[in-house]
Amino acid sequence: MAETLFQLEGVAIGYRRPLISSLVLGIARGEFWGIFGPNGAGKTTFIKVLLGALKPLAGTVRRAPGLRLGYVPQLNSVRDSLPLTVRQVIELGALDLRNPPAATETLERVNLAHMAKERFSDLSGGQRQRVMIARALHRRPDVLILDEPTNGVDIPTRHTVTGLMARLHGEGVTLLLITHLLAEIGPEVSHFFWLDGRRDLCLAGPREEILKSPKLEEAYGAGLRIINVDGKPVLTWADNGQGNGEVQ
Amino acid sequence: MMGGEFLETLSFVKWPLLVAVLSSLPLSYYGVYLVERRMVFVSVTLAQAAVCGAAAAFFFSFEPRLGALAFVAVVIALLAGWHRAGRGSLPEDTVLGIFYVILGGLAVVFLSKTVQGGLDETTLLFGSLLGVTPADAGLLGGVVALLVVVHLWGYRRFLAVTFDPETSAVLGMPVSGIELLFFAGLGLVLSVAIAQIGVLLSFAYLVLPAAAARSFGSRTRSVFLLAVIIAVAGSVAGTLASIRWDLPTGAAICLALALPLPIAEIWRHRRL
Repeated sequence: MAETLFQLEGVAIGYRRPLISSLVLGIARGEFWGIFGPNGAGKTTFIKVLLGALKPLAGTVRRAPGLRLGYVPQLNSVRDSLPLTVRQVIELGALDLRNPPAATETLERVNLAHMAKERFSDLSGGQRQRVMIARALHRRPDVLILDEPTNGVDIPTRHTVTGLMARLHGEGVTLLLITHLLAEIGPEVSHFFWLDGRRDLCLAGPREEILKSPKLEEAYGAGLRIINVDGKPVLTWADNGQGNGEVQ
Repeated sequence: MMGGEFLETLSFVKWPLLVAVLSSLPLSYYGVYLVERRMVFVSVTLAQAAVCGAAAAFFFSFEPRLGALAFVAVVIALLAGWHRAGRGSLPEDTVLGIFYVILGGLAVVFLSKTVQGGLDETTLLFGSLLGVTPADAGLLGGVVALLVVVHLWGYRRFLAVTFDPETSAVLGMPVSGIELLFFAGLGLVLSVAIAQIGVLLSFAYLVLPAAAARSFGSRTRSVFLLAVIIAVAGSVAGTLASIRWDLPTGAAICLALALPLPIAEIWRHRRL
């Protein structure tokens, strides 16, 4: 049985009032979690509680000791006007590590070595996102958390990011993908955590279990569809005219 | 003005010039961070707090620098508390504006009720560089040396927190502590120098060199270095101009610091 990396017992998350009031959840090594729900549902707050950056309002969060984390924030939370080079951005992501690997090694791994001396602020949105992912990977993480990694990027970059996540999962990295786009929850996602802090509702567990749960349709209301992709059930949104499966 | 007379005047202004240069070093360096973080109004509010504290100290007859330090510390604590409490309903610049106006009004009230002279409304705005003593320069030199040590130690940490505070916090960096150290350093230098350089010159050091340097420089280190060079050059040029044409020293330095801005803009447009 895979090692449990995070165990949450009776956890309430939120700032002043709880968004989710009683959460029991275990995340094991090698799992790929899709954490999704509408905007303002508490997805990022959940991650902050999970990682210890925010105290839970109630309950306990246990983390496996010595866990190495990589975090890719939403691109708009970064002050990209600083004249930092790509190499500097990568290196600043591992200040707490005693012997971080060489930045060039990480950049080569994600095919960005040619950009090492470029100014981060001169890059396109997609290139910046790839650099931010490289920055998280520079830490050689056991767990990689990506907060809306395809927000505001073009379609080729979206495919690159999705492919990179699948590759990393294949290499044994535990992944936590936060998104409000159902289209992002691809067939490689092994576990679902759906939450809606506005209604204090959540569902968490293995993909197959959650997709069979009558609570899912109840939580979403009409419009949810499950289709098969490569023999695996995939969540999608019935055509809402938007075509991107955005959770409403 | 003849050469001999000029040199004689220059020797008279050596301490004011030294204080201007010493103030310009940390303030222009801090300015790069503050301009990039869009926080220049935080710095001018802290400068106003330092002035108000110095005025209060004159009123209550104790060391003006201690008064400045106390007021700056209180304002930093209040702003930090406001951030921690979720910022409330008012935008940040509005809150800073409220602080600025109250502190400015309070400073004038303290000065109007102070019997002994030494600080007046003009000094609040422009400082009193010509009244500088060697002891003032020595104290400021000590503070600058301390800040050099702090920023050599924390250079990469300050950069990391400035660039991406969210990831820094998630990965366990003491972001609040680093921010506090950053603003405490700024508050310290403002408290020690404010009576000499005033609000206007403090603000000029914090904004103008950084604004020009970000157009000239293409790398982090070069932007910091250029900001400091522009600030020092502006201090020297402004002081010399004030001697040559009998101008108020603080105001002359402010104008000298603004001179590189149009050149920087032209440079930036040609580079794009």
